[in-house]
Amino acid sequence: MSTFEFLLQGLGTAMQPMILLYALIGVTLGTAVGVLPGIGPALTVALLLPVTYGLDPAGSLIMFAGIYYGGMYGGSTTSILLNTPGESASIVTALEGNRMAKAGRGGPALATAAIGSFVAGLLATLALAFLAPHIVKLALVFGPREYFALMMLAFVTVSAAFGESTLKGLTSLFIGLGLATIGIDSLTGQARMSFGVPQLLDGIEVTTLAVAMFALGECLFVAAQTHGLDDKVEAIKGSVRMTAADWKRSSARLAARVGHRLSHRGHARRRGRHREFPQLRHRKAHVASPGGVWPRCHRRCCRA
Amino acid sequence: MTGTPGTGRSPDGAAFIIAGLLVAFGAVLLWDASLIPDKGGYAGIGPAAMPKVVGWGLIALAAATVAGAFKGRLAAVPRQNPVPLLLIGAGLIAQIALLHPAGFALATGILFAATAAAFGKRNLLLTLPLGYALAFGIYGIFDGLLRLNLPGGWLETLVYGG
Repeated sequence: MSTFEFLLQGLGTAMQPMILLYALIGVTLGTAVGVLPGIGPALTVALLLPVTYGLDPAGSLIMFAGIYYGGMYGGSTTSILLNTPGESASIVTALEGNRMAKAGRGGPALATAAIGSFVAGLLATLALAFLAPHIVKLALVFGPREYFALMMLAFVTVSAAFGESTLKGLTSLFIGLGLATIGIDSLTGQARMSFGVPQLLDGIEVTTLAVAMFALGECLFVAAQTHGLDDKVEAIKGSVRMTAADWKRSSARLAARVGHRLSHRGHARRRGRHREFPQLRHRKAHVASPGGVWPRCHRRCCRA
Repeated sequence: MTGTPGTGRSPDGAAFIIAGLLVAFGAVLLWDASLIPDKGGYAGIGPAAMPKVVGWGLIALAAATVAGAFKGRLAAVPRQNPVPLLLIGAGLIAQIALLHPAGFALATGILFAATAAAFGKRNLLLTLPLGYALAFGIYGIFDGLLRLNLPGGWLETLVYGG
């Protein structure tokens, strides 16, 4: 198979000591610049373009790859510690990781982000190398209907699943859609909501909005809650290495997602105890029901 | 809508302000969409279609917010301290206004001092120079290492060059 041969040839080139050094320099620089909020991977590569002028093509390409991955990873650090995503890709990290850091588990959160980046990057690169020709066929089948369905799924998910209120979710969705109409319509070239201001023709960038919402929002929220300086800085407690328990939790969550719907039994067990008879677990509550008159559980898992 | 049901409070004033802003945004979208010469084209959907949908959607959501406020179904708003918010807002406006006339370092130093004051450090003699020094260093990093042009004041131009 030619894919393997090309891959091995590339790996052989990448294994040269000088190239590995370039990769290390690239990752370090990329992480350092990617940590700055508002500077994403693409901008990092553009900024550090002059650094690679003196290198040969293979070295500069590999250094760029290092810079790109470093920039992708660097955004997670500010997301976790400052709740300030550096680019759109790390917004989700800010949602989950910052909560971990506030709970005093900043170290494991950083470690999970780093190891998660490594594992996911490795898998994604492998998948890209082997599956890309086949995925292209699938992508070409996608027509307007499929894209519309995907969009609807995304909108419903973010508005219904995030946060505690569907009304809030829908409102933020529509405000976002309204902001997205600012600028030149990509299909027809019609300027919308620009009011004759040339700066508005480009629209509002995701990065600008992310920094405004997360960084400024966090700052204003914390400031509005403080009454004097009774706040404390939450130190990055815990080892930066993931403990065995963290590994177990991360992988168990993954496995749990996969097997979530596979078994009614496991589902019921995970969901915990019976609502009205908390001394009993679900299945026991059903089994022990005397003569079948035991009140039905209101949980979804027991309705099946 | 899973707010605290029936807390018995009078309708929240904030909900009406939010609803008013939503209606205003939706109205601007509809007004702007009405100015677009929309021929409809082949599919009957032109560039004005989406703003109209979003505009009416925002107005409907405003109505839902008002209805939720009357029924007390909205989540309780935590108590807010307005002074720090005003301080940070004023600092941000001052930074944006001073960015080009006074330069990045001075404008950001003022924003730093205003934010520090909002969080309780009111000693301007300490926070202003500190913020200025920090912003000066950041300007140096952006200008020297990354070659990104931030608006420079007289001192930045003097030290780092134009």
